[in-house]
Amino acid sequence: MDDLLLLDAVERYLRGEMSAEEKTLLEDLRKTNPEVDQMVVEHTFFLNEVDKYGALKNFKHSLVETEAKLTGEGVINPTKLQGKAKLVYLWKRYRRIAAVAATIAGIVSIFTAGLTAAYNNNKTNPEIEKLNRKLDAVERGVKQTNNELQAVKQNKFDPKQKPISGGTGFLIDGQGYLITNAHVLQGKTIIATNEKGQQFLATVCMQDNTRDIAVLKINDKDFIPYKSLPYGISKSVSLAEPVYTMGYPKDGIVYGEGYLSSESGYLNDTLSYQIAIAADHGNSGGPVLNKNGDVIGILSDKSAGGGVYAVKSMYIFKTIDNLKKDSAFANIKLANSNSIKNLGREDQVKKVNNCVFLIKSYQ
Amino acid sequence: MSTLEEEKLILKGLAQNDKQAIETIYRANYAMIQSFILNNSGNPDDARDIFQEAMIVLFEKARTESFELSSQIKTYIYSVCRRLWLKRLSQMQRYSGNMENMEETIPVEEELESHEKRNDDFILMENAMSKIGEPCKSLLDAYYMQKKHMQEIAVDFGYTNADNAKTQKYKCLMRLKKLFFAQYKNGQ
Repeated sequence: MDDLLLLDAVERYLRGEMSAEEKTLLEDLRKTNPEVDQMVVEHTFFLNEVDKYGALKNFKHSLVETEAKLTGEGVINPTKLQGKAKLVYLWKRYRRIAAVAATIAGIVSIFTAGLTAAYNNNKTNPEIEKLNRKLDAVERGVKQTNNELQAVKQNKFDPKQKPISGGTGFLIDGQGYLITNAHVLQGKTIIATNEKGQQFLATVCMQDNTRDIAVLKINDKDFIPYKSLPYGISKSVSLAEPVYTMGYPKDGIVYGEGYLSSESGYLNDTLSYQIAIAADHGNSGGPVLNKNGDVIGILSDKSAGGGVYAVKSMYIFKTIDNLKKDSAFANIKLANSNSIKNLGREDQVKKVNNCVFLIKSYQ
Repeated sequence: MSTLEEEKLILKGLAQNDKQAIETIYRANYAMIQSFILNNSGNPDDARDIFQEAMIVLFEKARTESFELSSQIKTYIYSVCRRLWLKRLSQMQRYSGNMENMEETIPVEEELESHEKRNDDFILMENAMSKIGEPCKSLLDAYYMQKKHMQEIAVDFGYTNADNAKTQKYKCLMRLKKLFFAQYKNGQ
């Protein structure tokens, strides 16, 4: 039987839309043909899943609507705004202007639409042309305001200064603990930038030059802690397993994939793995992830011998265990649950993206 | 206090995605959950999240055929929220160990476990959905989620007749199925 036909049959069967005659036919077919039976079982399961998905999706939609309604009535507290800093204040002030501008843009566009309808026969009306140009200008204005705002918000250090070293780092604890290579941190001021371009001040918690590991803590009031991280940290690897990394060899984040080529590093260094992957200096300190999206190492471009190496994840655990002996860091909790295991690579990357930071250090 | 009969009716409505029922449950229980979360190092945002999740757990439970109301809705919601919040706190390492109990509670561990599994399935399907592309996504959405008739869909999507739309729908469904099972087996 054709797949489409069978799918249709199963659907009607499940909904009870089949005539008794058809039903007997299908049931007989199932008995005599195990392949058909298998397909019916599979379709039934799948359609059930689709149904469950649809119901839950609709329900979530209703929840959001109800919540919005009740927030409007004051039954549910709106989120409290905590605006203290000047930057936040500026943002709020400009946001209102932007909103007004956007409203004007909206009105203009409605007006334009109205005019277009009114002058439908008159195809090239100069008035409409003029209005369109005005609309464009308003839109440009809004965009510019937004850009300027971003710049104001991010002016956290003297922009004329040049970084003296840099690389990549990634979160190992949603509270803002990052891990990176020790050699990335030559200067005193450390700035971590996420893939959206937001910059955060960070301080060094510890630095181990032998293993080339360092732990940073983002100490910035603008940083919103993550409730959980998408990846866990895994110690088990196997030779030739596919791996990928994300990092900042340039200002934008770059994805690269390769495989684990040796379980030891340069000159049989047991601290690290050797990896066949395209990586640049800026990738240093980035996570090396396996196909499940678990971190298995920290990319390290000790490019001696021309290879790419990664510090074994085991040393993340060791480093943090040591660090936790200091009571100031006793509350660090390493990422330990993976929520992206079943996702495709692209979706994994979307989640990991937010946890990988560009690290720059300044004098 | 609501009587058993009234609560049964509310849950029946909930299972059918009735907004009135949702609203009733929110009005009767939200304040309690919010003050519970605020008193235990949470913020209003957390309260919204946790309440929403508890509503989903209740919805899933109300939809199962074997569903029986073994406690008041209030007790159930409080128990679920409490458990969810404890879990979230321990994930953030903020659990201080002495959480006050404002209400009586019933054990809900098993339910939360099956809720988690359902949630995984939902994500799996959502992933598959996001990969089938248009017009498949909208087509399936119109048929399975918005429950539109084939006739209507044919008009909306510009198919010459309902049969054509139906064929197209099955093709899309086959694609979705393939994607779904590819991930499903991967995840096992």
